[in-house]
This record gives sequence, C-alpha cells and structure tokens, in this order.
Amino acid sequence: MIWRNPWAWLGLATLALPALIHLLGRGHARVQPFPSLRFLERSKFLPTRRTRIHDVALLLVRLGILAVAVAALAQPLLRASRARTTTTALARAILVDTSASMRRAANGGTALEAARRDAQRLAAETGPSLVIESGSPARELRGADAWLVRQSGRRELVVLSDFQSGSLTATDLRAVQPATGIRLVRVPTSAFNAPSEVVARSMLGTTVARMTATPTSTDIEWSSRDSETRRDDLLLLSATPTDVAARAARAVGVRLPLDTAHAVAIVFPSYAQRGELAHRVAQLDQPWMTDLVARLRSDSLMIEAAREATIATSLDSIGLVVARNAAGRPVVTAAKSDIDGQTRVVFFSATEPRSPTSVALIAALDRARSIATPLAELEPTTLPDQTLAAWQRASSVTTSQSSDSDGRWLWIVVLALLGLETLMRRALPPKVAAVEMVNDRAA
Amino acid sequence: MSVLSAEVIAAIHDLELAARLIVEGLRTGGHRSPFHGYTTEFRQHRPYRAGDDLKYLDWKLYARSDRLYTRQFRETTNLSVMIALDTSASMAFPPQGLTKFRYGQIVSAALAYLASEEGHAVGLMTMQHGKLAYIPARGGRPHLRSLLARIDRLETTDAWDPARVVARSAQLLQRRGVVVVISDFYDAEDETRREMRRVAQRGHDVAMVQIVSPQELSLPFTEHIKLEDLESGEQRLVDGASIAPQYHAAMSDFLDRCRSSALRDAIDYGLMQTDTPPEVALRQYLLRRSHTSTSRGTPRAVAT
Repeated sequence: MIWRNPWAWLGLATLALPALIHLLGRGHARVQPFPSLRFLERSKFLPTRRTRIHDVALLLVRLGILAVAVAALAQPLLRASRARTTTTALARAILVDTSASMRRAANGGTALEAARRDAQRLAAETGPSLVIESGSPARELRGADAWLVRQSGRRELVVLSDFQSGSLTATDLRAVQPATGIRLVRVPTSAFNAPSEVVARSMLGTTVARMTATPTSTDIEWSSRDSETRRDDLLLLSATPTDVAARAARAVGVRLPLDTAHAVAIVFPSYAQRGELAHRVAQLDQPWMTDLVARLRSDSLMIEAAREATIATSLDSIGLVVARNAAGRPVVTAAKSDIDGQTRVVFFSATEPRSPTSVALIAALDRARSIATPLAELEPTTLPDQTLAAWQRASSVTTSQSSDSDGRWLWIVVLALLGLETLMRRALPPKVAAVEMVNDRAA
Repeated sequence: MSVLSAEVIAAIHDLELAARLIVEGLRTGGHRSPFHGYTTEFRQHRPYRAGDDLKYLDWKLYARSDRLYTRQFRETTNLSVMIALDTSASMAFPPQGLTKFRYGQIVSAALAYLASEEGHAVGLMTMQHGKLAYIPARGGRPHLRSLLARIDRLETTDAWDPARVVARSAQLLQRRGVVVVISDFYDAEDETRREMRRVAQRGHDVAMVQIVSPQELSLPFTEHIKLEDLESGEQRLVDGASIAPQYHAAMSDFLDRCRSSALRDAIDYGLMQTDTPPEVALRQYLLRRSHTSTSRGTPRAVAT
C-alpha cells in the first residue's frame, strides 16, 4: 500500500482530543424516578482526578472516525500494481515527426528511424503511452492532449522531431492543457550538405530533384529524363482498363511533379473485382499512408465535390472514410492492399469516373502526392535550442488524480462510523445540564 | 399450600382471585381474624379501670373476691372496616416491576376479602385527582366484588391528603370500627400521625400498614445519578456511593419514627416490603397484631 499524502498522518495527533474529552468529561447522569427526595441531601461533588475513561465504546468509535478520516486524507492506494502505476505514473503521448526532413541520415539510419527508437524507449519507461506518427506534429497536438486528459497521474507530451523552423509554434503548444508537461526532443540529423534526391514522375516525364541543404541555403538541381518509360503510380480501376471517362479524368489532373515513392489506386464502383478487393484490404499502417489520407481530408476541393456526390454504391464497411456527402454517407474510403504485387493505398470511390467527385479525387491525389511537399521539408533552419527549452515544462499532478485513490472507500467508512456514533450518543442518558460543583478545599 | 411470590400475585390481573388466594393461604395457616368486633360471647376478665362501663362489672366475682373485674366478650357481631389506600405518585415505585401501589392494592383486596368473608362490613377511602373517593362499609359478596373492582381501577395521582382521608374514614364509620391505612407515609407525616392518633382516641382500631420497596431502602446506586421526585418532579443530582450512608440513616430514622409513634398512639403498625409475598407479609402482620392485641388487653371495645 502506498500513501500519496503521507503528511496527513500528522493528523493522528487529533486522536488525543476525544481521549481527553472522555477522560476529563463528567459524562452523563441518568435520571431515575424516586419516591421522595426528602431523605437525600445534596451531594458534594469533589473535583476528582480521572483515571478511568467513561463510555469506552463511544470513545473507540470516535477514535475510529478520526483515524479513518486521517487515513483517507493520506490518499491510500490499496492495490500495489495500481500504486506503482500511479506513482511512477506518467502518461506519455509521443509525437514522432515523419515529415520528409526526417528521412535524412542520422546515426547510420534515417532520423525517422532514430526518432522511432527513441519513441519506443520513452513509451517503455512509462505506464500508459501513445505514439503518434505524423508528418505534421503540430496538427496532432490537440488530439494527443485529448488522450492525455483521460489518463490519471502525471501527463507528458513528447515531440520527437528535427524542429524545422515553422514546424511548431508557441501558439500550437498553447492548446496543450497547463497540467500537461511538454518535452521537445530534437532528433539529430545528418549534415545539411548531404545531398538528397527526390524522383518525381508525371505525365510529362521523370523529374529528379537533387537537393543540397546548408544552414543558410538550399541548392536544388533539377534534371528531367523524358526518354524513360513513364509509369503512372496512380492506378485507376474501373469497368474496363481503358475506361474513357477515367482516362479523361486523369488527363485533366493538374500536371505536377509527383513523389512516386509510394503507389496508390482508385477503385470505382464499376470495377468487376471490386467486391473481392474490398474483402482483402487491410488497415493503413504506414505513416505515409495516413499522411496521404490526412492531406486528402483537408483538401477543400475534395470536400466540396464530395458534398454534392450522389452515391452509386455503399462504402459503409470498407476502410477509413476520407470524404462524406451532405447526407453523411461515405463517398471515398481508404485502405491498404496489394495490387499487382505492390502495396498501395486503395481509395474506394462511391461515384463513377465520369462524375465530378471522381475528377476531384484524382486531382486531390495529385496535389497530395506533389513533390512540392517534400521540397518544403528541405528548409535548412531549425528552431533554436533556447526556444525549445522555453517551450518545455514539467508535468504536474492533476486534481483528478486524488479522486482515483482508494480514500473514497475510507470516507464511506467514516460516514458509517459517524452514523454509529450518532446512534450510540442518542442511546446515552441525557447529559446533566448543570452540575453543582463544590470544591472541597474551597469549602 | 405453597406461598405465591409477590411477582406471581402481582401478575394475577383478577384482584379478587389474588385476594382469595392470599386469604385461603392465611386460613390454611390457622390465623384468626385481625378484626376484633363487638361481642356477646364471654372471653375473659380483666381488672377494672376507671372509666369502664359499670354494667360490664362482674358483681358476682366482686362479691366472692372483693375485687373489681370487667367482663370482656369475643366478637360475634359485624364490624365495620375502612381501608384507606394511598394513591400518591410516590407509590408508583419502582418504575419497573411490582410497584408499591400495586402491592397496596393487593393487600387492600386481601384484607377486604378476609373481612368480608368473616361477615364484616368493608369500605374504601382514597383520593383521586384531589377529591375524596370512597365506598361506604357494607357487607355481602356483591359489595365486596364492587369494592375489589374499585380498588383495581384506582390509579396513582399527584395529590394525596392522608389527614383528610383518615379523618373522613373515621367519620364514615357508623360506630367504632377499624381504619386500615395503607401508605408509604411520606406525605404530611405529622398531620397524618396526629389524625390517626385522634381517630384511635375516638375508640377506633387504627392499623398502619407501611409499604416500602427494597430499592428505596437500600438506594442501590453507586454512580452519579439524577433522582427525580415522583410527586414534585424535582430533580437532584446525587453521588450514589457517597450519599448512601446518610440516606440509610435518614430512612431508618423515618421508619423508627413511624413505628414508635404508632406504638405510642396504640396504633397497629406493620411494615411490608414489596419483595415479600403478600401472603407472608400479611401473616406476619396478623400474627403480630394478634399478639399485640392480646398483650394490650384488647378488645378495646366491648358490648353487651
């Protein structure tokens, strides 16, 4: 058993109070009818030194009330496992930055791998923990804090990132509850002058961006190889592989250089093997997948187009909902699946390729997969350590923590004892209102 | 016949039955009536005393012995008995168990039954709610039943004027009779004694039956206790252990005073404790009464 507030045991000193009262108090005189008082002279009550305690049972109950109340104030944790959890007791939400800048080399691997190792270590140190991987940790702060609020004990929010300038601001951190501690852990990355390369393929050809970042500038060397065989990583699955509407929709897409590191597919209602595909999908489990879905969800054109969509087929039980129509029905859902031997994020569309919603979906996917995003991650400057130190703070014990102790059961015992004390007190004869005291020595 | 305990007798709600049981127990013991009445059957001679009626002088014996003797006679005629029962609140003690009042009711009923069975007239005088309540002395079984029912209905009340009750009891007797006062004699001690003496001097046979409970004799309290006077309601905090010797002395003085004054005034005195079976207490009382009446040379009344 562990006591959260052991100083409360000093309250046991109050036990002397009822003991003194029962020792020094004159007690109760019962009233007895008597035929005549004519032969009874008034007694002389001498001041006596009390050596015996009267109403022992009542005294014991009163002592019990005080002792149990003091124990309750000491906030006991009766179960050892729970006690350990709460004392070391730190609920920790760990945000891992999975943005492109974290893919730079660090300690023999990438910064992201180093961050994930740190996250696992930090999660293992505490009781309840939650690891969130996101390309934009600032946007996940509110959700992480919401999870922390539901936890008991101390709470801490950890952000593992390289902290590029602009990736996190004081305003973002202000959304975190004051009692929640904030810990900002910078993940060391390779020197800025190590070149990185992003290969983007589009309908226009293959573009390679070779970037070299320094603390003061970023050099990007573009090269284009039109002669390479173009392979579209966006697979459109509809009634026929040469669906005119699908090809037209693809053709009107914004021509952006794309990050082709990851493959996606869109499955339209007319696709013959759609049912079979829907049965073998899995949950999204890669950070880039959730990043992609998050970008689609926040795409304003996608949202507007989905709102006007007319549902051709139900998507209620397939994957993660990306967009809904005005009636709240899913218009686009996302899941992971292997198609043609390649792991893809598969978007199930409730509308046919010729619908505006499908066009908007294809365009939104192009925007989400644009190379512009990885390029932004090449921002060479980072938040200074002093700023991070200023934003950090220690966690504190929250008020909800005290209510989780087992003291509440002791308070119930206190109430029961108080009831018993009242009954015992009422059972006593009425107390003598005035006692005639005659001091023998004075007399 | 075994003696019924006080508790058993008290548990009998039918007062007539209780009285009959007690009286039958007394008869089994061969006791004579305590009521000495007017008689024509010669009993004995006693030396003449100034004031004796000359018509009871035995002139023949005077002629033979040259001494004056008065003839005395055994009772053969009816006697009037008035029972005065104390109904003051002090009789409602102890709060639990057999109270002095219930004990007094049983003793009254037994005496009334005994007297009625021997052909005497019996009446009741008491006080209820400040007013005298009485039944004149008459004989006969219907009257006895009515009397016992009346005794049974009596309740303790605050007010009790023993002097008035005793005086009125004597007034109601058509001729000289017996007045039995059953009380704890706490109230108006001097007035009561004076009135009983006056009644006795008028020629009535006055019997003083004092009823006490063991608790008020022993004062069995050892702690601080608040005693409440049953009549006045006054409360007094006493230390039971320290007050006991003084109380015992005062109580003993009081009982001695009652006994000695009764003896001095030629009044029969009997002390009954409520833990003594009524039959035993009555037997002892009757034995003592019989003895004292013989030693005093009673009957105090004679008749031709």
